[in-house]
Amino acid sequence: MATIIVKATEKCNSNCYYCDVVYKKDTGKSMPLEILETLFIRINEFLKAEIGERVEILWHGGEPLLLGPQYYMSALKLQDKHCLDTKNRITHNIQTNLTCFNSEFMQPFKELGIHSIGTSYDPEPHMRGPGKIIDSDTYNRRFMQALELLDRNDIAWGLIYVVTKKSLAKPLDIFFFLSNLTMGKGFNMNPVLIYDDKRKNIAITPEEFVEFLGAIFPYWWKYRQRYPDVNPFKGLVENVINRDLSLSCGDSGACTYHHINVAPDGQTSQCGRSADWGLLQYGNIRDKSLGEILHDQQRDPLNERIEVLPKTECSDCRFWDICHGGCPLDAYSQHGSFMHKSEWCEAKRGFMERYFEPITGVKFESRKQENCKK
Amino acid sequence: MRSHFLVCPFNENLLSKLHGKSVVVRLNGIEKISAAVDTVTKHQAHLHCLLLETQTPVAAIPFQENWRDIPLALYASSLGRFPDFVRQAPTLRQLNIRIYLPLDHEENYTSFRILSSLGIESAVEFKGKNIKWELITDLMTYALLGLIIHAPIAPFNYVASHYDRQSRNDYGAVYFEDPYTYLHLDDKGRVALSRADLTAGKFVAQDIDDVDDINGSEEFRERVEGWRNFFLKADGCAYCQGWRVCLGKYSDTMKSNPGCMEFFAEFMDSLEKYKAIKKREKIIWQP
Repeated sequence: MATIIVKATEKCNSNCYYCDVVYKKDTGKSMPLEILETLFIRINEFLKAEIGERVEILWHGGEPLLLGPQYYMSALKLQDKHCLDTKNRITHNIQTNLTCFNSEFMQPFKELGIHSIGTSYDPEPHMRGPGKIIDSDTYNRRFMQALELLDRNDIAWGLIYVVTKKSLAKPLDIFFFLSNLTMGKGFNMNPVLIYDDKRKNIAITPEEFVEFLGAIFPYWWKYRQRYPDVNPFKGLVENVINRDLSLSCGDSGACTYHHINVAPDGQTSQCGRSADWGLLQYGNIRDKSLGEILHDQQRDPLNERIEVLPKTECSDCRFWDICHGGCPLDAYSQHGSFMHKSEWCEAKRGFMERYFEPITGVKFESRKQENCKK
Repeated sequence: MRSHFLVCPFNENLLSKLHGKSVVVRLNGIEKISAAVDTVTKHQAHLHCLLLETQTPVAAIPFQENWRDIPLALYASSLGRFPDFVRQAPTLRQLNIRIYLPLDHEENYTSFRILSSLGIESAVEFKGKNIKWELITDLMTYALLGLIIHAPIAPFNYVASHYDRQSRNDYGAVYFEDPYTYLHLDDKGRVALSRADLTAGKFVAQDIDDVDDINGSEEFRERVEGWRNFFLKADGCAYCQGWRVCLGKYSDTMKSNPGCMEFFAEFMDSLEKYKAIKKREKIIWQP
């Protein structure tokens, strides 16, 4: 499966405190339909050449709904025009703040096969919202209206909660809030990633993230049937207890030859962050096929990393199978090189050793350990 | 779409327009019971139940055996004198009745147990600002997990029979407060979504003929989606583990009397124990 992150627009209607996009200088571009058309032509070429492959399009931004429902109808038409024989191998997902979602998006979403929407939320005032004051009241009201519309139309959704310094004082309160809001749907708790000095006041350390999760985990474990879809807990249970090693992009070590970020002007990169930082630039889809982009030699160091780390920094870590050194971009931000583990590895290790294993009574064994036993 | 039960006053003119509908007829005196039943029958409405509201204690109501087939929701103030109640009990046990008692009378905390142990169904009316949540916890535990045979106590047993731990669980229907199930009519047939709206004159339809379209109205949508407003507040009920059962019903008193939080957490635990016990089918030696 190739994942194409389509940065359909860099514009955003929100000014979220922890978002990097709002600090970027050039954030006004949106993807013209001619670039979108080229993208579908490239996808069709790729799928015709790679029988059995699939493509996941992840509509991203900025705020992708700012482009309006017509834009997605146009995307549908372009897909129908250029991917007539391959469109059944294309899936669509979207990551949106939902604040400009309305019933007019239903038709294009339905026709594109978007049955589930990824979003994010923070109940803390003035963390998410438009304008200089970060008007969370307006944002939250629109967000709740959108959820109501999604629920009424049986469109599933799941949300990401970003753990900041402000979250640390009340982990269980936040957990209850999110589980009450999502009720039967899922949410994911991720640490805030801050790369500048302007917003250090909300940054957290890996250790703080461990303690945040650790304050929730005993309760979640006891009542996990009541709160089935809470991550990272559910994912770890599946990894460790059910031995299902499907992992997120940051932990899988498998993003190397599968991910493409497409900027509004057609420039490609590994992912959103590498694009923002000017790293791993693979050229423009107008000039290169997806196959060429997916096998660009600049990707090789990411693959090499997976060979190197188990012999170096990660040699003594038994959690390699569920971490793979973490996101290479995180490692780059700290060390200026991909050939290191991410500092967030320590969060996973700390959580596993201090909370997950003692509370569940299940000790994780890597494949290497299992093989040794055999 | 399921049709609503219409909660209405005892008014023959109104009932005459409710042919074929399911009705809950509100009465404020037992002397009107027979007349109300006759009127409902005469106009070919279906009697869901009679809702009898009285300040008379249960023990002082002259229950009659011929009310056996009349579904009754009795809102009384208290159980009354125990010797009088004991004399009434054999008749009461034969009736199709649920007795609602308020929590503003302290003796009522015990009365629920008496009623339940005698096989008479009851319901806790959460009235008053000083609800003793610890006593309610004991009562709930008795209702759900008590080993000796006893009658259900609402809302505990109602929630237990409908409980879905991964959903919102509303027990407003126990008190006829659920716009999906109950609508409230005044003498003129104007329709409100709750008793409070009825009292405040806040109607969603001017005529019972509009009732069939009620689920499509903006007011209805606002009411049934009203739970979302809790998530717009910076603190409060949305942050509570018990919210999926209480749905913020005690938000007005939550700060002054926060025992509801612990109660609903305990309630959810008991509900899950109750479900687990119910699942375990007892197999005895005799086939």
